[in-house]
Amino acid sequence: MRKSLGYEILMTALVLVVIAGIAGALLGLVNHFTAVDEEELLARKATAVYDGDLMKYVSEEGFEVPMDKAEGEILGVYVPKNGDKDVFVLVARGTGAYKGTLDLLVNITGGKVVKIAKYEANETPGLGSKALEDAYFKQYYDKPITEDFRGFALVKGNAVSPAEVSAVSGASKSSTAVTNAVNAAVKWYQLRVLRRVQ
Amino acid sequence: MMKKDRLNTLTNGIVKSNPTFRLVLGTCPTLAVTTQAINGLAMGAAVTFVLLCSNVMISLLKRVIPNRVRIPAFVVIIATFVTVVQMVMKKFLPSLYDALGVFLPLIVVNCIILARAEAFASCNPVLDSALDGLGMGFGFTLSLTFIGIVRELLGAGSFFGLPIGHLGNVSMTVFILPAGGFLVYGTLMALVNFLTGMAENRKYAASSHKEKKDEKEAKV
Repeated sequence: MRKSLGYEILMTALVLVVIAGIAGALLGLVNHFTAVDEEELLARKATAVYDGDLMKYVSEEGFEVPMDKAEGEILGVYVPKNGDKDVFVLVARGTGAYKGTLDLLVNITGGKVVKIAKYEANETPGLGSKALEDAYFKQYYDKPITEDFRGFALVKGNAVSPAEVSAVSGASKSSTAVTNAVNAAVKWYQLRVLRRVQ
Repeated sequence: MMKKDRLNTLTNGIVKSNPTFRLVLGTCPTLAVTTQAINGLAMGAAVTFVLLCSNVMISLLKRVIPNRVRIPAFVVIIATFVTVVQMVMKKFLPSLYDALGVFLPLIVVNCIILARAEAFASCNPVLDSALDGLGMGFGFTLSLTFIGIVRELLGAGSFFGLPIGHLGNVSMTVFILPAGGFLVYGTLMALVNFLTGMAENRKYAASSHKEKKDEKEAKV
């Protein structure tokens, strides 16, 4: 006997729904065991730039700063749990990387960038990845951020002035993205910390 | 199916129908993630897991899934296993998860998996489908790891992340870049085809030699 059209439509839909339902249940179960807490992940990664417990920084203005999104943006700001007013750990995103954007952790302590580490970046190993090593990051360290500091400038070849940073040769895109991210952090610090103190 | 046929099903994907070098399937992740040997290995392992699970599942459900909607059903099953791999990797291997990036979720549309589901698992018993999935997965893993080893050695002077002597100082970065990927892939494909061709010729020559000998003996 030929099955009716209604029966076929019903069976087709039913099979697909059952498969999708079982798939959904399975994924829910796996997710229950493998879910990664973003805050916990940050806390683990942030130990690379700050030795101690951090908490989310809450300010009345939030952490959004007027900035051209084409350069960089601040994704989050964290301060030590022990109440140290001098330390800010920023998650900064820089654009212009080889694969779009890269996220860095920037520790600004006492008005200076003291430590930078990779938060989420995936540059070409052996090439762009050189712009994510401490040897390159060192160029941004310990330079006083005053209110009229105009941000770091990337140069090819040797850096002359303190605000200049020498790009990794062959990885100018990654170097640019790192500079953009650090400059975003610097700008946030100038607008949200320095200006408020005065 | 005979025991020997089962063995053939398993080894088929490793040499004779190697998905990367002979069938030229799944070239997108092949070229994209093999900048380092470990990435190739991880990608291969992920694909093997998905292939094995989806082949078994599709073979089990082949009578239940209506023929007209088999592709959406296959894709849902494949996507489920890919997401499982993604979740597990994010939790336990975050650095590899970062390195594989977008190519991990893209396993869903990897043509090796859908091709095996459509061409093999949907018309073969469970055990054979499992063996086919394993064989194809191993073939893919071996190829990706091999390409990764060559590219990493030439491009970064290291082997699975371990620097080899002063090789890093004379490495050619082009091999890590996309162009180098094509160069290595093409050269290795030519090499594999040359070697398998040679082996087939030898087998053919040996069998025809035996035939002649048999003929002579028959005449005598």
